Amino acid sequence: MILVVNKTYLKLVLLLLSFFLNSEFILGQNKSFKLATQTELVKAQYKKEASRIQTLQCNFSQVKKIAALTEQVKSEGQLSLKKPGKMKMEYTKPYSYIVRINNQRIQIKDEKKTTEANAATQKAWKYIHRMMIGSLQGDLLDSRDFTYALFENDQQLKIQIVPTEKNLKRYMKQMVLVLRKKDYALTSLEITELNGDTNTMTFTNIQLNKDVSDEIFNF
Amino acid sequence: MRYLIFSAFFLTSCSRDYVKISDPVFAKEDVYNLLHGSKHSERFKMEIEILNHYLTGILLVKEMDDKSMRFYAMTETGASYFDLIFSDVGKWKVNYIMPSLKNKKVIQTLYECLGYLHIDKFALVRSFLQEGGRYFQFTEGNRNYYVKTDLAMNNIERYELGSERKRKSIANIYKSDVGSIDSMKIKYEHFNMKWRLYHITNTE
Repeated sequence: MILVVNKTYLKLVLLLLSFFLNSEFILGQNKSFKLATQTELVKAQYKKEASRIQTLQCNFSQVKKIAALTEQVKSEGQLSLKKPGKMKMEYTKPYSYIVRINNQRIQIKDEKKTTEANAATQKAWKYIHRMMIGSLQGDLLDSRDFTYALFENDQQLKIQIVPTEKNLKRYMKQMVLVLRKKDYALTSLEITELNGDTNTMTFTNIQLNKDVSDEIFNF
Repeated sequence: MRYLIFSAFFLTSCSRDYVKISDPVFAKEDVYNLLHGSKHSERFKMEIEILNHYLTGILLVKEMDDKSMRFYAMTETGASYFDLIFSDVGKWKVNYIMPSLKNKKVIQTLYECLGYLHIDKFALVRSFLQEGGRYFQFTEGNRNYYVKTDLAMNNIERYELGSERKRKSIANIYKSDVGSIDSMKIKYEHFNMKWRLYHITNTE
């Protein structure tokens, strides 16, 4: 009995410890967002700060929640971005899968084949690419393909995007990007599909403006 | 007349050598037991080669509480390909399909391929001997699936889809030690399409 209590207690202490040691939590991950009142000012600030970012490298974890099946699928990997339009996304779990986008060309490499993206996946990839690169360039909000709303707290900026463009509307209901205000790096990206399923990517160990070789994007 | 005889000979020589078993040496349960027992929930890496296109993604197969089967496929990045429900023989429902895949033929082909994953839900209608093995015919609406086993019915050699005279596709299924599907390879006979599924576990 003592052993059981101790184990439970230990788990609780560890849980609380990990919770509070998580700086993202302390820095306001959970603080409620309020609708940004000075939209143009926030937008200008974001654009200015984002223009300083030339490269981004980070780890990511991805959780796809499938409401009807009460299931979720988890994946993880590394992401590299380089202005003006280079992106490499390398999934390491559940299996190796690499996507390279070099301006308008998209290459997909799995454990067996290397192919150029086909029509079915190309649109989705281009959209994700546009969001990620756009978030770095700060000109994301200039697009006419969607409407947006800005929310903020002390530490973060949340951009809620609703597509208005015909093709995009066929694929998703909305997209939510969260950026940290200290450097306007993207920390999470959540896509809600038409059926209500969500796909959330969380970016950690973010490194900005490190030297990233062009070679990793080449194909 | 000569043509008639020739045609009759040609047709019979092309058709399969069916032997109907009037007094089966097996029980229906034995056949169903031999099929993969569908687990409550399974996940696969999915690879589809079709007409020079190559698609990959993750396929979830789940038996719901009401015993219907749900087939959900998504890209690695999380975008949904399709969400299909099989509730009973001949009763499929498209809950969602990616706009670029929304085509009647594509959907029918999906039903055909996914049918291989739950043959144990279909009706066993008959059996026959052929090619040194035993065939069991299952029907799902207007689709006929055949399970070929060795004569002693110890192992499944392959699955087939088609009519008695013309095979449409063949599926080779490799099972794990516990009887669930480890991998499956489907090849269509008359057009360039291949499906491959590999069981994955580390996504939860």
